[in-house]
Amino acid sequence: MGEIIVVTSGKGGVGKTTTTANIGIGLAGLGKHVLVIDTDLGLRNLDVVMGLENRIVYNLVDVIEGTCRLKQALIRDKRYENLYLLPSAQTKDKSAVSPEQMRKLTSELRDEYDYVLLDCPAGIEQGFQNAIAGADRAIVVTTPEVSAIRDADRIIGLLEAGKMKKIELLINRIRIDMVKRGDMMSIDDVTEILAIPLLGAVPDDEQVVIATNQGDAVIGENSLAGQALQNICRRIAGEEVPFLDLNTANGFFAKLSHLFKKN
Amino acid sequence: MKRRASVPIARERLKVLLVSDRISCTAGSLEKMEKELYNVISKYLEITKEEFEVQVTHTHIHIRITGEEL
Repeated sequence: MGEIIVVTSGKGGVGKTTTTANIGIGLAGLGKHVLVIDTDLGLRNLDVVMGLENRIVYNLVDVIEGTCRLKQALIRDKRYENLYLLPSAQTKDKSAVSPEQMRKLTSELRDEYDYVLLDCPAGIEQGFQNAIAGADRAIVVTTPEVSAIRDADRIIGLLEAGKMKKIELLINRIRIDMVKRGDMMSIDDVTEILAIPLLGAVPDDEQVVIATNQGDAVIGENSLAGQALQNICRRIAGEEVPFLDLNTANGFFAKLSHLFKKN
Repeated sequence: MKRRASVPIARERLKVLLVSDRISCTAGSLEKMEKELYNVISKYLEITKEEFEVQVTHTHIHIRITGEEL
């Protein structure tokens, strides 16, 4: 029986889509059968982040409306043959799909995949209601900023009211240098304020931008963000993985640059 | 002169913001509610303002009395 996981945040621009893509790719790399679904109707993006935008024929709304069969709409990933994308529709709006239809779709997918990841649109309107309708588990993505944390807190309240079984926190784009000088909330600060279990924290890393430019994944790359995402995937799959000590990593690189300066 | 770290300000702003979001009431009326609750409780129990705390989560309002028990 597969697990249906929604990746959500409330606020836009905190990295939901990039996170969904990388977790999907990471779980597939662990040998799991994975389907990622873009539920942001009208603002399709997951295909671009995964580098699969040229292969779209049908989309989520076509499947729901019965214009095509599910298999026809699925795009097989270029990296892993056990990873598929169901793209969103670019020309429809949120009302083209109902929460009931999403529940039906995800319950059919449960038997075929180990993980179905739903990339949720920003906001708390129908697009959000659609995305969470069939999910068993939610990953709330936030950055260490007041506005993003505020929206994450609203989302957590709505998820709790909707009886979501498992709600976990992913803190994105954390900058240890800023945390150290007291100008960015730490992982502990954010976790304490939002009071839900921490799934992981991903450091701010320019490799993410570089990978996204190319439609590649940062996961599996030799970068701090890649490592953090890899650990998150293993935790999702049920492994107990200690949290990356971002401080040590920072210290290590700092030491390295010292060495170079001396020479 | 060294600039004050901005994290304590962010934490304080969030504390006020989240409470008013969670129970949809303004920071002002929350403060009033806290005061009134304190007045009611202090009628029946011997407490000081320092021991008294109201905590709001998504599902509960906790009235907490800290400090040494007599």
